[in-house]
Amino acid sequence: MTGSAATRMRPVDWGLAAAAVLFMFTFMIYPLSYVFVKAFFFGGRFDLGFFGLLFQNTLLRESIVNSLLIGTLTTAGTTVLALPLVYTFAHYRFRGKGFLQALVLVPMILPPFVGAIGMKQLFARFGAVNLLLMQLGVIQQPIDWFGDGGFMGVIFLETMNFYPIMFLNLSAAMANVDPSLEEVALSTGASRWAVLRRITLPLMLPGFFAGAAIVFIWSFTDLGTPLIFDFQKTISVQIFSMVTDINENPMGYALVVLVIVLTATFFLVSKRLIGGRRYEMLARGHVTGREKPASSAVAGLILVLTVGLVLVALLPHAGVLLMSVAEQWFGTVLPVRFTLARYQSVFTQPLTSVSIQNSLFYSILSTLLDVAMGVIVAFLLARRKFHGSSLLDALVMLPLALPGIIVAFGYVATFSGTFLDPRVNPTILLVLSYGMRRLPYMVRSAYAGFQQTSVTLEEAAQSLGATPVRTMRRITIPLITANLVAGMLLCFAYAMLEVSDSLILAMREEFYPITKSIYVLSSATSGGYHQACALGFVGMVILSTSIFLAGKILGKRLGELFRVG
Amino acid sequence: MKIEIRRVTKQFAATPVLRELDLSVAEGEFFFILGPSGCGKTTLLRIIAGFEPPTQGDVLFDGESVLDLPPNRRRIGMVFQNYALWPHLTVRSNVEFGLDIQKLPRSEIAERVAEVLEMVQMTGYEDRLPNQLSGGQQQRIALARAIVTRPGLLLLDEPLSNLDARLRLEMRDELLRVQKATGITTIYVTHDQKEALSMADRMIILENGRIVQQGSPLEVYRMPRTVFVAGFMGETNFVPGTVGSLHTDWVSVLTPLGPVAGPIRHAALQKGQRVLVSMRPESIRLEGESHEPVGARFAGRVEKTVFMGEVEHFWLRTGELSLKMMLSNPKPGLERPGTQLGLMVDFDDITILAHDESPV
Repeated sequence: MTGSAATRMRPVDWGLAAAAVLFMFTFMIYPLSYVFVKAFFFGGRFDLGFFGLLFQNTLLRESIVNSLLIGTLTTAGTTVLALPLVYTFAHYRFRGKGFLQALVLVPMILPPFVGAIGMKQLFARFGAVNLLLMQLGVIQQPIDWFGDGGFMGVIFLETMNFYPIMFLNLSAAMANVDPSLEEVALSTGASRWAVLRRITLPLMLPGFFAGAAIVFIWSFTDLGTPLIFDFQKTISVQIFSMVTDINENPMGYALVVLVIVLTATFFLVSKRLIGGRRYEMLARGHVTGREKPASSAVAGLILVLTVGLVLVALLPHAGVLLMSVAEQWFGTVLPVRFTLARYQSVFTQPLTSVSIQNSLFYSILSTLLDVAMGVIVAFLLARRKFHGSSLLDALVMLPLALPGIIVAFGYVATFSGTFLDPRVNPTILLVLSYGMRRLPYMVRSAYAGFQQTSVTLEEAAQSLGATPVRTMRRITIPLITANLVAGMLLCFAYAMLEVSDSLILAMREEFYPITKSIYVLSSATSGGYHQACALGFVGMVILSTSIFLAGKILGKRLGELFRVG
Repeated sequence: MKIEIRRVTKQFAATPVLRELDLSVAEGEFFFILGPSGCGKTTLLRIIAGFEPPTQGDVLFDGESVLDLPPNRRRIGMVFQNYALWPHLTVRSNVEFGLDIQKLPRSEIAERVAEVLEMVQMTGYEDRLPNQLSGGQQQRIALARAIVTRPGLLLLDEPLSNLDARLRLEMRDELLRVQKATGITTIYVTHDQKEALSMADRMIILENGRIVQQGSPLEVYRMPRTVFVAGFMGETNFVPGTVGSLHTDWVSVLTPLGPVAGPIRHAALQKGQRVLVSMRPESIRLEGESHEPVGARFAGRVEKTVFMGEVEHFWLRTGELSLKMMLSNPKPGLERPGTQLGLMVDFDDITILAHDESPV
């Protein structure tokens, strides 16, 4: 292909592309390949035996089934919650809708891992909820809310955490269906229900697939939530416990390979079944929304249901807050005496204060890495034509579908004994893994910016004598600042609460990030439990603040920050 | 189906989009709603279809109010500007959707689909997906889908605006043929006055949410009621003047071209009133070419000409005024700049318009 002058690759572009590809190969493809090799060649011989052992081991077999169930039920649950919300928001207009649309997204920024601590407290056998119900005489015996050692608890928390992702994807999918396609169906005599079933939903399937794939993969491999519930029988917890004897026991490698294979299979099969066809929407008609004003009764109902859902989703986090300010909380519905002492010690005790500093440091570095990589890659993909662009695209988007636990496991396996050894100092690997995991957000965000900015604006600058670099600095970057800020805040927020990489890679206390501190504290004495809640709440505040500020700075509604996902 | 619109008003927030519209469309009529963008024509169409409720007023189909009926129970067919073909369904599934909703027997559905595809000359494309069709083909399928249910009313929203010039001409004939063959009452929304002139039985012209004129294409073109309509329906020359003398059915206007006589058609004119005289380029003739009663007679100097083949455009100067003239089958020798020409306009081709643009 002969590109025009504007899209032709210059030597510096080739250099940037090569650097990006090299980086992705070194820190993603190489560790993954290393794990594969280790799984199949232990002791230098090709051997499939470990996979047989995986399925003979009852614990591992149950773990695989549990993880698949968690993934499937969470995906189903998020769909059931999100679809009515999306439909309602798309079809009704009422006061306070923008606020509600932002509100339903809030649970997404609060880590289920931290919520799990509060949830455990509220729904324990003699926790607040059972005690309240028994006092009210609704029940005689305490209810086992979590079912089966935490299984239901994990699914509940993940559903509550991930339904906003489904909401965003389905909203985008519905917005992408031209309303005139529905109107013309109505005009042929079809009922609203027939239109939804036969026109709207089939056209939304690709968008649903995009959301479902992420929700499934994330819940299938989530480590933090089952760990806090001490629900051992999931693949992620099993892999986590195998990291420590990674050099002696090859089962960990086999399990990781199995996760990759299952993830890829799920992805490809469901893509084949539902997401394969991307309908190119033909030219759009005049812009008409679907929105109809809602009567006050309907608006009230929407308000009550939405706020109710968010309250339920935030209940565990309310438990965290209560726990953090309770002197002690046992055997009563609510704590009796309160204290703020733990918030003081969060910032004075070495373990917690150092971990806050560490997390900020790692997250800022990884965000900077994402910005640099993201802008370069997005620029190349949006503004240059070259052979191998689809390879680069696939490489930088792959981390979206790559569970954090796999990346972290691969890093430990690959870089142990090198100068990057996480046992010595995990800083570089933590920054790399945080950055790698969230790179797709930055790339998408910046890419969208480049796409929205007409090339002619750049060409106009160059026609006036500006060099490409100067054009980039004076014209392009200022125009895509909003996209960059949005992407940065997302990368930063997620890095601050990254669980699986942190738990696995940070092995020495002086390098603990916030999440690892919370985990260590919560599994210690009961005093540590309260302390973990205080730290968890500090984490939530940092995150909510950064997201809120992003919304203010950009002057957009909160939801648009997350559209890139 | 007979359509009546009674005093329909539509406001979005505080902005009025349609103001007290009244109109009626007869059974089988090919009716046009014509106006510039933003005049409210698409809103009016959507009110008729039932996608928007009017703020006030009533919509009647065959004498019965349909305001309480949702779009899917109004027995309409629609064609959108973007065709709105469902991209996940084949041509056949697109076309048979409405029949399927009516739960007709399979054999009848197949028969009617075949019949309508033949009518729009798309037999053989049943298994294609919409994105495998050209723009004109998509247009034909959208039309087939709209009429296969035999609706009482067909609504077309700028159906030709996404087509290139040649296809647009072809599809005009096609739409006209299908409309006449089916006899379905049809309302067609457009901003293209050529489409309206060439296809309409009757039309209304909307300006800022008001009907400024209605009538047959010939009436609207030759006897515009307002300056806006005169300019919107085609090219014209406006010559300012004041009313000199008033007679029962004609008036004499003093203009820079000299006195101009024209019929009184719509406006109640007063002596001394400032008016605009509208003369279409094709109505200006060389002196002696016409033997009808004369409305204006003046001399002009050729400034520039453009030869178009069947016609030639002349830009003429007379005093301070610049006028455009169009001659069909032009003879060579006139086009030289500076040539002095004696010119005239027939009395019947003169339109005298009140300066104020509001309808009178």
